[in-house]
Amino acid sequence: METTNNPVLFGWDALVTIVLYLFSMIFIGWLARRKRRNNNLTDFYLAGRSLGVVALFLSLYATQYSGNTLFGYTGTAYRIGFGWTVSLLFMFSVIVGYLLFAPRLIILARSYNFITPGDYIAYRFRSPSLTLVTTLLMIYVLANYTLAQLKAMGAAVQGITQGSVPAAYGIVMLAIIMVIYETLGGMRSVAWTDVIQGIMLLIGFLVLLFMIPSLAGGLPTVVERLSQIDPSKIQVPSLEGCNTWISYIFLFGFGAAIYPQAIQRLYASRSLSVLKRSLALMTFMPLTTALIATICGVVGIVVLPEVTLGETDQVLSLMLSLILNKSLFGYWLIVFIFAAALAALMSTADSALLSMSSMITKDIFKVYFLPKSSEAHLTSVGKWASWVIVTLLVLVAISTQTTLIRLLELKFEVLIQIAPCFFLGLYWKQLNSKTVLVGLLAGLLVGLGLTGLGYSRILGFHAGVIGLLVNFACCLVGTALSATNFNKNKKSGDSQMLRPFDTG
Amino acid sequence: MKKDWDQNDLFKELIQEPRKIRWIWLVYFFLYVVAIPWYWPTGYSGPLILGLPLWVVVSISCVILLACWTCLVIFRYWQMKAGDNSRGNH
Repeated sequence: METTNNPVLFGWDALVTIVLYLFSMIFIGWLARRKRRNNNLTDFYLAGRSLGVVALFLSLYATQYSGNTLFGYTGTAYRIGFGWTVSLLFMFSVIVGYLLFAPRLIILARSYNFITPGDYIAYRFRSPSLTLVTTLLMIYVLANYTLAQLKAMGAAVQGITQGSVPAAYGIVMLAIIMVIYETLGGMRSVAWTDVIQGIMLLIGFLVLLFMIPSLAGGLPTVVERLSQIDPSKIQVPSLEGCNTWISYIFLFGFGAAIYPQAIQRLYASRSLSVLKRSLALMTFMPLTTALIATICGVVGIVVLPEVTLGETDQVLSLMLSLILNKSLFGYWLIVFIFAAALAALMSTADSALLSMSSMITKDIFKVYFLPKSSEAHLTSVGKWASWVIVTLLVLVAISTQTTLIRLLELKFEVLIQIAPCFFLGLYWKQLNSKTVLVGLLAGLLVGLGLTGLGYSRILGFHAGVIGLLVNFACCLVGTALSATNFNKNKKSGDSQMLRPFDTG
Repeated sequence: MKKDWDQNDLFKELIQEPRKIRWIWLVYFFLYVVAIPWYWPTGYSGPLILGLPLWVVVSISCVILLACWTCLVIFRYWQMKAGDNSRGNH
């Protein structure tokens, strides 16, 4: 375990290659800027709604599968074994979540030129307070999400340079590169870099599938060994464990499907055909990522039995360092996988950053501070907003400590409470803003309250999912009451009580 | 009121949408029920298939079936009047 503090050790040749790769992202950003058609928000934040299948699919893929999938999921599989097969199911469930609201959302988005999720909420509920609350919550969640990626970037850089480049410097350098290419071409830059990053991530995972199990003589040998040294890691989960599976499916099906950056990618597709083909391809991606991360984590239990609980996010890096020292070929393969890991982190962070910038510009600045500004001026404000957000997040990232998977769960507790706006709002005509707001606050109170009291799971169910149940119940009761009042008022001739969203 | 809502002019663009077809969700429910390993005996791991315990293989197979089913649902039961190549603008 000599490598615990410096899991992967690269020479200067590898470091130069990785730096060149990183700077090529800026070049792609510059190319994307040259393809700009208009200086407006739609062009900057949605690439002029022009994304084709390759760009949309790989952008969805690189955005959804983050550095957390590589390091966090491997670490969790190391801790709980094959019980983490649930990760395939919940990553798949995100696509099922889209099927429950995307067909209607994209019709509205195209018809009313939505750029942010807040545009939909403002149009549907006609409530500035609900739009502001949901926008602030989404910004908080994305900030949290970006923070996790920045911290992982810092840890990775510190690891490969044997500590000679501190994590803080790594975070600053990668954040600057990211914000430069993002502000150069907006969504077009991000999507184009996502194409490169997505391909690298895909190849990186496939390489891992062939390399990691061979460290312990192949997967059958690993499972045989586990049945002797730690059988609980290959046994079926308990009933409470199965409840956690169900909870994860709801957490991701309702939570990850409404990530603002994901919703904006639905808006940015060139046509329905492009969107449908991209989503169809995405349904198979858990098999190429979450499954491989789970297998790598399980192999790690046999290869590195002494990793402590707080270091499990480093299991993959530690195994890579074992391959790195075997041959020159192995060395360069690890360089490639490391670049893929950086790609995963950056592609997720840049998408979240762009999304935050769009919401701050369109849903806050344009509404409250710059209502008469031109689109070109707002685009410029958005670019400045990106720099300010990155600066603040880098400062926070340098000064805090926590594990990746914990951050992931905390942000879902919050984001999932916005789900009724989309999953119910597009179908329940009489769901009004007050009901949604009450449900959202009740859901947050329950989800965060339980987490704060130390009950992050009850009988295996996440606090956020329990909060969502309360949230849905509030929406159900509120809508039933609204319908009763509506019918009463309709009979008495007062049809102004409700403002159902009309066709404009 | 539900009827009025479904007749919203914009949503009339949708000839079919998956959410409205109940039996699609019955298939999803069945596949999810099989994918979650609640029905195996406590502490079961089973024989190895391709190096993986049987219950893991069953769950992974269900994910593959769910993916195939979702592709079918996307291409067959999500249809708009203007066709798939429409940019959707009105």
